[in-house]
Amino acid sequence: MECVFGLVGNGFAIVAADTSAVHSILVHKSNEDKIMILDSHKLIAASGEPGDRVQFTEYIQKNVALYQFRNGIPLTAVAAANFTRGELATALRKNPYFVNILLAGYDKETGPSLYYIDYIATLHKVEKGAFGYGSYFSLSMMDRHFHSGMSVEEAIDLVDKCILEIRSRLVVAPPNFVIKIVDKDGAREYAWRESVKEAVAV
Amino acid sequence: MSRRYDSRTTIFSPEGRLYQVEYAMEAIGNAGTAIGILSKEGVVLVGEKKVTSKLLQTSTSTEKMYKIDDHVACAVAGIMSDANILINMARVQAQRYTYAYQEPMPVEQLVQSLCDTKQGYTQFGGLRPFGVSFLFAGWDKNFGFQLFMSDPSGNYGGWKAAAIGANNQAAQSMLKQDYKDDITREEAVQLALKVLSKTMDSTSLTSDKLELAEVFVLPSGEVKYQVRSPDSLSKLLVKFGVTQAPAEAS
Repeated sequence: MECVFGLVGNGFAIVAADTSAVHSILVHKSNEDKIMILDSHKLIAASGEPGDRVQFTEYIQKNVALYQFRNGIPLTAVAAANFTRGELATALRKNPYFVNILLAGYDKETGPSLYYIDYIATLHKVEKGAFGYGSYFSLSMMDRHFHSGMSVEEAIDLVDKCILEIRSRLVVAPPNFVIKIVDKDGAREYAWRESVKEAVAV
Repeated sequence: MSRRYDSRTTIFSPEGRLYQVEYAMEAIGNAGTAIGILSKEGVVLVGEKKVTSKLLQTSTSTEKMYKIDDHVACAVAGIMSDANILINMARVQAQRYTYAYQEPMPVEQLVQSLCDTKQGYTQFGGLRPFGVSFLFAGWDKNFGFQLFMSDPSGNYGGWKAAAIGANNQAAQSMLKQDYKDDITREEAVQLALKVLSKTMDSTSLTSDKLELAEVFVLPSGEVKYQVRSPDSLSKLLVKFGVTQAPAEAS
């Protein structure tokens, strides 16, 4: 029931993910951040097996950091995406990672980009993408409303439309979402969309 | 002297030297000179050929210059068979990188990985070091045109102009005098040929004693590595005045 989706706009890429950590019928928490900041200008939105998700994305994050330390230059988004795909591919026929990834990045030379990487190491460069049951709704909404070069406001509006659709039409829909953006100024959290607040101990 | 410390490659002498590495560099000092010069528009590599014979198939084989990847080439000085092993390693490394990242390997990373291999042979395994020095010429999108020199110890450095092989010190000091930072591609070729002709033992240069290759960018943006044909090279030698005019038939 995990929902992850994203799109590329004018000089930025945006990804949204639900924030429920679920085990069978129990919701452990509803503020689990599934969008990792890979480096200054890259985001990984991941969904899938919870242990694999954290393990794999942290592994990629540390390898990306190591590359930068070793070589003094950061990896480009396309290089990071291909590296990630390669790691999934290598593990696939031994002990696969059940993780689906949307990698959003911004490079000075080539601008924003979004990569769809699924758990069997498929890699596609896309303008919009989604994983999970929510994808039935978010992809349809994006097919209807997306156009190339959207502004941040237009893109956020579309993201909110997708979230609304998921909330209203998906049985056992996740209540809360986190939205993160990456542009020339870097990768950062944009907003949360919460309909159920996680209880805080007093 | 401290001969008892020679036979093992992987130990220091009491004076703190690695004799096997130094002996490897001696071997290179007997090999044909190679010179590399960096310009704004490319990198030129010239090499002195030791094997000169009309029977050599020059159109398909080169003695000094080798292409590692589409954007990197190298000139060698030293034991050719050792060089072949390392060139193959470099080629595999470059492809391995492209396989993982779908991008060409940055030049310095390629040089570094090769030098890491060379260093291994000075520290463990008990095998002798490679008796080869390299001049790597390449282009990448991070730092543009680059020239690197590496030696048997596994050390490497980035250079504007460098020489390896016989008389490399003389060549290096000549390069130091005549190199200028804003040198053009053609001036670099001229300088390389001039310096090589001065350091070579022979009195006049002919195209069968040399190899010349360049790494440059085509108008389309593609990086090109090109070895000059013997005819083209002869014309250049005449143009720059580093060869004697052909002798008149008597």
